[in-house]
Amino acid sequence: MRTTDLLVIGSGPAGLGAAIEGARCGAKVLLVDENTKAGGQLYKQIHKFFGSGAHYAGTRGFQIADILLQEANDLGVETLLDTRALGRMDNGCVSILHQGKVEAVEAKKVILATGAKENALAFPGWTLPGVMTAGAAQTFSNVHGTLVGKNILMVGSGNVGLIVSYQLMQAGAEVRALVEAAPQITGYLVHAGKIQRAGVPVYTSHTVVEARGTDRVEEAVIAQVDEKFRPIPGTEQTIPVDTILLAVGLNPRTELASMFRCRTTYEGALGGILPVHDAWMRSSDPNVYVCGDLAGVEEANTALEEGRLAGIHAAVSLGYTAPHAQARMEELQESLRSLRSGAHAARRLACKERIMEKGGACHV
Amino acid sequence: MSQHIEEHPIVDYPSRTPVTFSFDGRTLTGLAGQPIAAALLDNGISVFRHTHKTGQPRSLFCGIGQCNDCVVVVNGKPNVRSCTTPLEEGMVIETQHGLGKVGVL
Amino acid sequence: MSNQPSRGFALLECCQEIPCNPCTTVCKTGAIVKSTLNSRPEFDPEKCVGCKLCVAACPGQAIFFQVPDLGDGKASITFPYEYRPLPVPGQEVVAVDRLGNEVCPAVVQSVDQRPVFNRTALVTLVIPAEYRDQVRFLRRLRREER
Repeated sequence: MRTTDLLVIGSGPAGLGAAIEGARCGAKVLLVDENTKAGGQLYKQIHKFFGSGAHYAGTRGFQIADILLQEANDLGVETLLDTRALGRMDNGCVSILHQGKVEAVEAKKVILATGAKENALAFPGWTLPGVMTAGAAQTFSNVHGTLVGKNILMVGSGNVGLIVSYQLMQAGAEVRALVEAAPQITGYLVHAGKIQRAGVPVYTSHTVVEARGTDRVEEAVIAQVDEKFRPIPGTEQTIPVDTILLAVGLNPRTELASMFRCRTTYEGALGGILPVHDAWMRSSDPNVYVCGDLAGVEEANTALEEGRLAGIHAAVSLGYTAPHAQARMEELQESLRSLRSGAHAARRLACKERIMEKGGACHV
Repeated sequence: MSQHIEEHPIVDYPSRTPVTFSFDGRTLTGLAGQPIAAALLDNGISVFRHTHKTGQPRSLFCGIGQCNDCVVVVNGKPNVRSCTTPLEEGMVIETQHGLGKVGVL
Repeated sequence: MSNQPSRGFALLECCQEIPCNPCTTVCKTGAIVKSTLNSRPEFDPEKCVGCKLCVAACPGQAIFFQVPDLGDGKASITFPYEYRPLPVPGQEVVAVDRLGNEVCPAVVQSVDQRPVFNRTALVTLVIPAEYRDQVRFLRRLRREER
């Protein structure tokens, strides 16, 4: 059996933020991740990040991952990769599958940073080889050096659809079109501008209605949709592509949070069902924290700040202290408010306020 | 290596050693440590398995080991996720038909 | 435009409130300021010294650099370029607008790859001055065109 102060599950920006801050306060931290490399989705992010220059804005995602991993390492965070957290056992320990063996971890506080998974979209032909998530294409292009296809239809104009379109062109593919069911582009217009300047036609109020091909995608049929998102007969167009990528949102990976019996709520704008939390990222169970996309799908900057907040609060609640820990937590809360201000973030802020109201009510 | 990225403006990919492997009896070249799925795509192979009931083709879908759509038979063992399993020298890889045979392990 | 400095100035086409501020942190002269992390940037052309650091730093690639009058009816426009192959100075290319539509032929004046740009190249095109407010990019070069 392994014992630790903090068990952090997931090593994306939220988990790394939690591990770093927990360790900085002096807590013993064990960080586990099912992947063979830490960093979560950061290593797939090859664009320069938004956010505050005081943090990592203007730095590319994979460069931020390198900085955070070095920091975690320097602070003595113990990291187990290729290690899957299976659930909580009757005695309160967390079971992990590590190098083919199940082990128990006794942790005083557990910080869940399990991230999100991509939504799928069903339409005739959607199971054909060549139809896949935008994240799969991004992983293969940016990490593995392989294009999943040469001629691409992107479905969805959120930031994922826009950024992955751009990145696939950087890797040498052609994005033949991007369709968006909403009447307007839903991601940042500056991201859209990059692919529009590069000649990608963006069809708003359009969706994919069919993928055609025998052993793989050979063409896509798109159509205009009405105000209820129903395809309008007679508006179909055929686009010759070998790949159809789905960038139609993400939803929190709540399996572990459910096993920990964290109270959940529904917030459509943040991905659907997710665990409630208070202003310090505590779930309904005071010994279990949730942060990052699990606590509502946003972006890496907010994930990192939420993780840091969870890490400090968990360590301080165990009696560890760091200089200015209280002030740091207030700073992080302010930083999160700032990242969620602005017209584009108004809905996310409203969701988060509801979540924190429900989460806070668990600890009165 | 039609889908292999030769030059990238931002990313320096790690250098990998060429290895040979077989796919359905054909001898092919890939790179040690790249996911099996990447090696197959680099070789122009897009069908990784056929479904149990209707024999429909399937391939990469989530790319990160969660959906299990991309499984293949590796060295006789079925249901190996090609998107997260690193390629090794001499691997015998086959298209998976159906669910994989029990007891082949 | 006649009272603008001939050395040129940045064009900030940051059209939404986004929590982002690298443009202000790289600007050494205070020509770009944001009142909050989310507000849109404000630009003072009098303070702009033409270093182009903001053009490379903007994560949204929404900052361009324009020299409105090169003296012979030509103008120049600079933008970030992160594709391969890169154009080369002297190369004739097709200049395009914000939606990728062809505007006019152009000649590549320079391709700036300073290390501080963190792998973003800055491409400067010379174009007829009448198109300086339309041209924002070049038709992306494909490998076979090099």
